[in-house]
Amino acid sequence: MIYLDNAATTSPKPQNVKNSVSFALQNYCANPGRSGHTLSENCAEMIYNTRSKVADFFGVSTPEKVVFTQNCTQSLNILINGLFKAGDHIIISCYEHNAVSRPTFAFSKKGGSFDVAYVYDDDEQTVKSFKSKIKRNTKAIICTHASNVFGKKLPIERLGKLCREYGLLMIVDAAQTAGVVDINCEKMNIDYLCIAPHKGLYAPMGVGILVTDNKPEPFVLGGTGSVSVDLNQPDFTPDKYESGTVNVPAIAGISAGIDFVKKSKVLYDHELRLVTAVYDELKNNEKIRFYHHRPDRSYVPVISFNISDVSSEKVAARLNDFGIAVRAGLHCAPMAHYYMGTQKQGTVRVCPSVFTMDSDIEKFISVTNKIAKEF
Amino acid sequence: MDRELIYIGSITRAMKAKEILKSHGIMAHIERTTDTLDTKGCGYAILIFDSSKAEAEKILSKHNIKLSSK
Repeated sequence: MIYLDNAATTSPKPQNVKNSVSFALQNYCANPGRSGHTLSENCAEMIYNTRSKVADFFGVSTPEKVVFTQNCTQSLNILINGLFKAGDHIIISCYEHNAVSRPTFAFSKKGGSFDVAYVYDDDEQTVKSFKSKIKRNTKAIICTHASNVFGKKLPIERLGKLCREYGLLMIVDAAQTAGVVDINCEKMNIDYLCIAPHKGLYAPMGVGILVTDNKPEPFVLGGTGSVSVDLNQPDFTPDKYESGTVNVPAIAGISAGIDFVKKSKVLYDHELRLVTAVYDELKNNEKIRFYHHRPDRSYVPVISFNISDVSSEKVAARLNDFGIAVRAGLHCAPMAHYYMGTQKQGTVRVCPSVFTMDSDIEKFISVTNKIAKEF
Repeated sequence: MDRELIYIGSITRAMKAKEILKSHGIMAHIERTTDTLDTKGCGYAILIFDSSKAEAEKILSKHNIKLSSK
């Protein structure tokens, strides 16, 4: 199979990640931070070391701010549900995934409000769009770092600056960018960062990362292995947000995934070159439509297209017949499709990984041209 | 060998404290403690050898490590 659905989850996982997960199941099979025996302590140490590695990799001031959640969606929900109150206003972008737009909409039904800022090719215009939405009661900008459908990166650093200027919180959904492009929370004025480690960090599924302080109100309460006499949830990170046993093998996988990404220095260049090849080779086919200009460094390596007015699901199914895995439909980001006018057809999304070879892309191009002739 | 205990609320803080003390040349070990069971519940302590507890606590406070009272 030629796997081009890496924006959903990277596949395959690197060997060192598989080894690390397997090692954890054999050697860290204990409950970290709960018991005093050596196995539990070793496990806790591995988790602490992973927190430190994550903090270091994403420019976070201290490891305690790194919280392990179930997934990136849960991380975003903790923030959107836990930071704001009725009467508050937040700004999101037109490219948001439902992980942001659904909890934001739910917040608006509980007395909050939100506005949607548009994203343009010109970053200046994008920043202006966000700025124009700021109101007296605006508390935060919450936005994706890059569209999971069209790959367009948002000018996070400049939006972070805007937040500082207006005293707003900057919350970033880095599901599509963490591990792919550099992120430094301190330098980029990011207050809260949400990460899907199973994507750009090549870690296993079932674990998310939230970079946070202790301000959001958690919605899951329970055992943390600390201050257990108190019926109140601990007020410090990471315990405040880590009730119950964390996903130890997956966290071991995050550690190995970061090592892998650090070693693969050309990861972004390689993938961008591949999506550019897709664009260059298919743009001359009059039946194929892309939705933006040739991918450049203002994009992550994600590209969407359609064949004439054929359903994107039909095209994806046909590609699957040839052993090519892509994702079609709305990609859980209906707002992005409404913005681009593709809400009826969806798009066929292609996303390579560091493991995608030139020959895979050549085959994909050839098969897509062949399929286009069928319609 | 003198043993001194510094009480710390969580395993993450205890790990960080151990790391900080190590970087200051103070050997420390993490221990699960029952000393705070009735007041705080389950907790951890940093066990230090051959170093002044006051000095270690000063270092940890400087690094914003919140210590627990017994």
